[in-house]
Amino acid sequence: MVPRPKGEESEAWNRAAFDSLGQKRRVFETPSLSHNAAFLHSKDAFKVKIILDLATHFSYHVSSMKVNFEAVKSLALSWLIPGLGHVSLKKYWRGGIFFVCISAMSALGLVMGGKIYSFQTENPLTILAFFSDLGNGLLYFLSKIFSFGLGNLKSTTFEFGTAYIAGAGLLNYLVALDAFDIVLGKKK
Amino acid sequence: MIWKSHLLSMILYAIFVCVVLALIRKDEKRAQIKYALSLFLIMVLGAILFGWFMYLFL
Repeated sequence: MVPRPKGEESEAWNRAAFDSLGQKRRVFETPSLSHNAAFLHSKDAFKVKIILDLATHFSYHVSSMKVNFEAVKSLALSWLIPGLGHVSLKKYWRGGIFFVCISAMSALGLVMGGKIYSFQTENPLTILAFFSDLGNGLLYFLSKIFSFGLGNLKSTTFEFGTAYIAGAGLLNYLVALDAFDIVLGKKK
Repeated sequence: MIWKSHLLSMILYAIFVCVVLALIRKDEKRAQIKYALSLFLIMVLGAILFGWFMYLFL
């Protein structure tokens, strides 16, 4: 702990301590305390400074946790259903276009006889395809529950269908990250 | 089975990708349209040129 100065330095130290709190100071400090010169001379100023410091840091962490929770929520929503993260952020047009484009790609891929890959280590290259398909979110889990997207190897459009589904998943990852960045304020 | 034409399938794929990427990368409407069109042309013309390039090795 920093030793508390004495004498004339004490007053300057107390003032500096209060000024260093910046904007948060106005929230926690009452006018009667901040403008009372007698209080600044008192020994309690040091204790109050510690309390204000703790309160400031606590409020900062709580607010940052809230922002992060909102960002993760948007990320998860957007991953589960394409565009839902943007809709939850009241960006309806953008979310709608994302939903239409990515859902259409997934649906066309399924109609073309494309395959949704499961995780398997027999063929390591399919692990990449698995992570791409996983980007489709809810569609991936539905395909595993209701057994569709098994792939029709006889179809001439099998490869294109598989590429459509994988492309939709990869685009959905980007869309989810876009929603995440919007909440964090990195994007509009 | 729909779209046995690989060219048509590729063009449709490029349209979807361009629209989504333009909305992600650009904020202004004019910039989005410009970016989407340039990306679409690069993807489609690039694929056609590369297809002809591969044809040389048959």
